[in-house]
Amino acid sequence: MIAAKTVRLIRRLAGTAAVVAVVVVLVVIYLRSEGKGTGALAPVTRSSASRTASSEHGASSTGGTGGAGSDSCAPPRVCGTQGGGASGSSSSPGSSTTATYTGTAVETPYGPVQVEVAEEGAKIVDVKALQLPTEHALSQEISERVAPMLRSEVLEAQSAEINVVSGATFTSEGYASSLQAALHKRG
Amino acid sequence: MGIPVIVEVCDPAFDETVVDRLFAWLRFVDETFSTYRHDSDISRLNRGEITLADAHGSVRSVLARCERLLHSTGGYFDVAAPLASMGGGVDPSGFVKGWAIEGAGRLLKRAGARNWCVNAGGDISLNGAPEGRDCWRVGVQHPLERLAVAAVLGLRAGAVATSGAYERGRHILDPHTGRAPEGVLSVTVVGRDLAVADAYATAVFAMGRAGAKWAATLPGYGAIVILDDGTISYTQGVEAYLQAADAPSGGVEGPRGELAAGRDDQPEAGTDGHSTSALHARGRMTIADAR
Repeated sequence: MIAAKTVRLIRRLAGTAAVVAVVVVLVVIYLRSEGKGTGALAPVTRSSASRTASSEHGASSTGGTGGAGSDSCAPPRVCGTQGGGASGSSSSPGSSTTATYTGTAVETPYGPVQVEVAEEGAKIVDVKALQLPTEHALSQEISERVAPMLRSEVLEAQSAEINVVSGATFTSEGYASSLQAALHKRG
Repeated sequence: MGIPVIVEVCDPAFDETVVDRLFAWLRFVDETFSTYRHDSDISRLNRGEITLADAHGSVRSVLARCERLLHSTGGYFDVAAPLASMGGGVDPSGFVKGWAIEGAGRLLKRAGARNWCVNAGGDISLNGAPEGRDCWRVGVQHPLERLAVAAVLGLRAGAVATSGAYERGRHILDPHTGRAPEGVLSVTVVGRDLAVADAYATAVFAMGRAGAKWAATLPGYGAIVILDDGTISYTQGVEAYLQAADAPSGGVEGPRGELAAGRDDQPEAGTDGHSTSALHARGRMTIADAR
């Protein structure tokens, strides 16, 4: 395989606090280059060959409080979201290639939603809904419809080889639970 | 809260300081145009503290372009509409976000970047392709299911903007009635310029069910309109991109269906320039296997 190096920089712009269209709070930057990352944020570069070690998933996905640098297989750390980020846990460091990520529970107009994503290498192999809204009848109906589909739909999205997602403007809060974030976690 | 901006550059030896300049530009735009900033030119303009002549030159050119879009959209893209009930003023955010990202793309281009993608909260400007692909594959967010896509577009250059009422925050109103449009869940516009695509997406959404028909008249821009009765309409301007997405480069494991409904369900493009597909049962949209 090509020994391309992946540099990921994550940075956060200083204090803006509004939903206005142009406000930038959360910034995730991917730079894919052959060169070395020598930017001011001291990105970490690693060969993509290391991406199957599950311990690295776990080690670097517990962040979310800012700073820069992550390895080529971990999901980018999410900075600047309120309650954002994801906590990761690796099932068996060193040998297994499966890692699971638990997304932050996100409040939606219908209630809290939380998912867990399992990856093998760069592939999402399973998605579980840990929390779905059940409070109201409408939510119930939506949950029933969505729950059985969550798993297959994400796998479908993956098989469609999507690089990026266009949608109604999401905020930094919404990002953590978005399909775009799931794709970034996938790497 | 804020809008996440994701910059992806897939070129060898790209100068990372360009990204610093890119975000300096976005900060400038925010400081100048944000209605949430007390001291922005727009806020001061709206309070009557300065005149248009005192404002930054970019404010004048942006508002002039918004004025042209007001006319070309039959009044459906109206920067005065968001503040109409709050004492007046202009809020050009619906144009400025796309314009800012369009400028960010130009900055990358000038710096020599060839393969890049900038995604600002779901509005995208891009060029080239990610590593190992021959185009950027852009998923259109499913309006009802957070982790699903309703369509996939393949682009090597251009912009994709989506308007919908499924995210929190300000929703789009029909400027003519002051009410939320009925029947439409999301509108995605694809074309050359993100600022224009963004404004068109807003206008088409505000038009409600009639939007797809109007969108079919737009030269150089295509639209995907998803209605609450479970239909997805797309104009001919989109079809080229859908076909492009059909044939990803080698190494990609089998293309999946690009539009929500299976190909069998899709009638030929109508004479009015847009097609409508019935979706699967219960109005649910899925990625169908088109093979």
